[in-house]
Amino acid sequence: MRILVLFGGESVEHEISIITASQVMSALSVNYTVLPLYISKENKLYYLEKFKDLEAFKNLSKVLKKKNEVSIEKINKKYYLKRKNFKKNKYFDIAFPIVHGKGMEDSTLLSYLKFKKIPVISDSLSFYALAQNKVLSKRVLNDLKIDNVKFVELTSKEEIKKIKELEYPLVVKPNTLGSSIGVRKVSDEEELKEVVEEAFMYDKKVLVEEFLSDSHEYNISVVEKDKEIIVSYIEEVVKGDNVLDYKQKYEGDSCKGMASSKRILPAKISEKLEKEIQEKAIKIYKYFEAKGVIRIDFLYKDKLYVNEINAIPGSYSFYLWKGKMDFVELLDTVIDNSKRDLFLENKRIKSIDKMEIFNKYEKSFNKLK
Amino acid sequence: MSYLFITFMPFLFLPILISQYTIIQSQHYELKKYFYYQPIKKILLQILLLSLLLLSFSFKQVSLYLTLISTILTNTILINKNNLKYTKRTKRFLLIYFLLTYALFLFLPFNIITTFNTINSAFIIYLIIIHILSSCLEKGILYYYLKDAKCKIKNKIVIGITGSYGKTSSKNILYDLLKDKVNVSKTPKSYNTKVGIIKSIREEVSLFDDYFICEYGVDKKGGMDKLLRVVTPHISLITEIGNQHLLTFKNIENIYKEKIKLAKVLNSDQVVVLNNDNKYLSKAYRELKCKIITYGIISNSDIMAKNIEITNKGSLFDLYVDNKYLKRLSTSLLGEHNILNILGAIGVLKGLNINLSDIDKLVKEIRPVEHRLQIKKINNIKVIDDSFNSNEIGFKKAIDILNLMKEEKIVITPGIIEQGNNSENLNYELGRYMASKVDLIILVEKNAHYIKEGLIKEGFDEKKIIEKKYFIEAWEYIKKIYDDNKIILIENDLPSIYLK
Repeated sequence: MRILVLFGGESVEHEISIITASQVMSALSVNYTVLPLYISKENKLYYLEKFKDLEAFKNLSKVLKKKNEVSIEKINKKYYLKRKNFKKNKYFDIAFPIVHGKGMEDSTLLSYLKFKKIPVISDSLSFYALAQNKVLSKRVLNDLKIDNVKFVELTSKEEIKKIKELEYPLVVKPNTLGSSIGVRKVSDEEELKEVVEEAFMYDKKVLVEEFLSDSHEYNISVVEKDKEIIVSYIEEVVKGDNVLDYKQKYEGDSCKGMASSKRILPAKISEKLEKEIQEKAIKIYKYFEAKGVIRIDFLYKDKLYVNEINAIPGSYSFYLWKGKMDFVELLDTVIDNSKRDLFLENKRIKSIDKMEIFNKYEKSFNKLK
Repeated sequence: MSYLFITFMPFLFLPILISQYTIIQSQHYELKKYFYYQPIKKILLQILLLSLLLLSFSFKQVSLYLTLISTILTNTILINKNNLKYTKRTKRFLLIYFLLTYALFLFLPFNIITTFNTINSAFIIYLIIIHILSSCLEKGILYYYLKDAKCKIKNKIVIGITGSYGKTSSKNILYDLLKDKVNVSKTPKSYNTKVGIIKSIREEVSLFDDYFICEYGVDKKGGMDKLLRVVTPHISLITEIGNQHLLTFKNIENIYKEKIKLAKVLNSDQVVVLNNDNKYLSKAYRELKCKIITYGIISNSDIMAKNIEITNKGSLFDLYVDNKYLKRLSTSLLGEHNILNILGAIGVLKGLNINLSDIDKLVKEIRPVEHRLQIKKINNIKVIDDSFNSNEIGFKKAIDILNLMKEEKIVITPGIIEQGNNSENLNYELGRYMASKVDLIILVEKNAHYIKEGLIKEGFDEKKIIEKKYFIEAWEYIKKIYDDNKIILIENDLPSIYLK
């Protein structure tokens, strides 16, 4: 099977996506033929065999030439990367989007592929859109009666006054960004103003949460295998008194992505807490209609809170599965699930021929006249 | 001027060409059958015309009259009203025709009238030449498609199904059972010829499938080898050996020998599923190397149904696997033969090592295929639609099922149409069979009176037999007399368009 891996794109997490994709591609290459498709920051599509390695991205301007630009087309039931310069078109069987952040992960890319009738791995439009939107996710979590940190949503700077019921220190987060970008901890009102202003540069909606000091952060990854939802080991992320921000998360160590933050794996926690995390993670996976590998971040202080849901987690969360499944097996699981979904999708009725509706409409329209 | 004339030339032959090609098309593009359809007389006449034309080369004065006469003759002899289906093959045929005709007019060293005369007088021969050219082209295209299909099917597990009866039903049942568990595709409808199989592989099989159910239809000796060259199965199911297509096979031994080839191609670790109730298939183990799973109702088999309860809403039975009771199954499919078909499909599931623990749910969800013993309501009239059936055994089964109904039983049927002289006797026997089981019969078309004879022989009330010329008339009649206390069986090959 030939898999097209899409990554990059107009998003603040452009670079992280490249790292995740290169990890995914090296694991995919074991069992499948991989075609790397790089999406530039202008959302143009480029195809080059070289993009499988990180090396190619160190000198991008040399590579991003018109002759490498492609478009995705469906021709005669087959899917092609159509090149602009009459070179032979490459075909592929299925697309695998590995993108992060607003404008990409929030189902934008998925919608584009689906509209072009391309079969996609882990295809769940509503989940991608929901997981990216922190405020909406919190509402669904409340509906499911799963605890999450108390929050206030702001649509403009002036609404800061609303934040009276929350206790300092607070955490400010842009509503639809991921990978901790724009996330800052504040300890007084003055700092809050400044940080909220910065956050509005990223997003039109900002949410302010209470900061749980001395809390523990636990991450868990979830995937569906043979119609059963299974969970990974739980990791504990070690941090100072600060929120884990973008710099700590990705720029601290040499380029290894999420796999490199300081962490304890598996986390040393009581059996009861472990069970609670697992149960909640499975519940979220089920009721959010998630597909593929996802990662859920929990905070623990007296009580267990859901902090964040990642639809396409950094490094594809493979490090959480070590010991249970290796990366190759994890990706095989995801692909097998998608095959089944696509099979069922093909059998479904997609449009109905109902010409009589026009006749009825015509009649009522004539009456109006 | 002469070029303008030449441009119109091919169009002059077009009416004759199309009417003749329609016949070839209706005979499935087989020349032998075309000659069988075209009486020798017509062909002789053509040859006569051709020889006259050759003569006329020596007497130039007569040549003009001959042109006139021959044109009129060939036109009246050869044109008949038929609707040509414009398939891709037909379009390619017409393209060859145009190209060849223009080439003849432009490059033959005769004048236009002579060329026209030659083509006209020898039109059938000309047609055959084009047909042969077109067949060669089609063979090339088919070869390309075959390669493509083989490539596509390479990594899939193929389940082969053959048999005299019950292939399509078994296929659909198996598909229904498998589709909830694995990614599977099948040959659609009753596609079971070489071209049909290649077409369905190219169109139906998706990259994401793991299984492919393939129906192998054989109607003459050596037919199976042809199909096996397209796809070889990894697991086979043989449903029944009976006397369908007896005319081409000569005897039932030959039918058995042909169908059993589907099991002989299997390795020693692959599985064939056989109907143990069939007297030929129950002895097949003697010559097979592969593993065998048997199924049956009467004889002791690996997959068995016991305590069968047949009602007018479906059937209930106990499923025994390897002589152990597994579950009581219920199905909405009508008739005992469908239980047998279900058992066969379960045998395949067992052969594929698929867990049978939820088989009861799966079997319950099997839906009947369109026009095959399907209970439905058309214009609010209760109907058992068996219009796709075309054999005697299926006919009798449908009557048996109708007999289970509590309502007043009405049958609409044209009888059975079969090649050969057997059909008189067959329809007579069917009439006798129906007499005690049916309340009212509406007979349509040709074979009607043989059935009538059979009915009267058994003492059926003559007033209860109604003859109509067309199905549509019969249906109008039903509309008039219908009330809720009646049920109608539509049996054998009626055009289903009337039912909508």
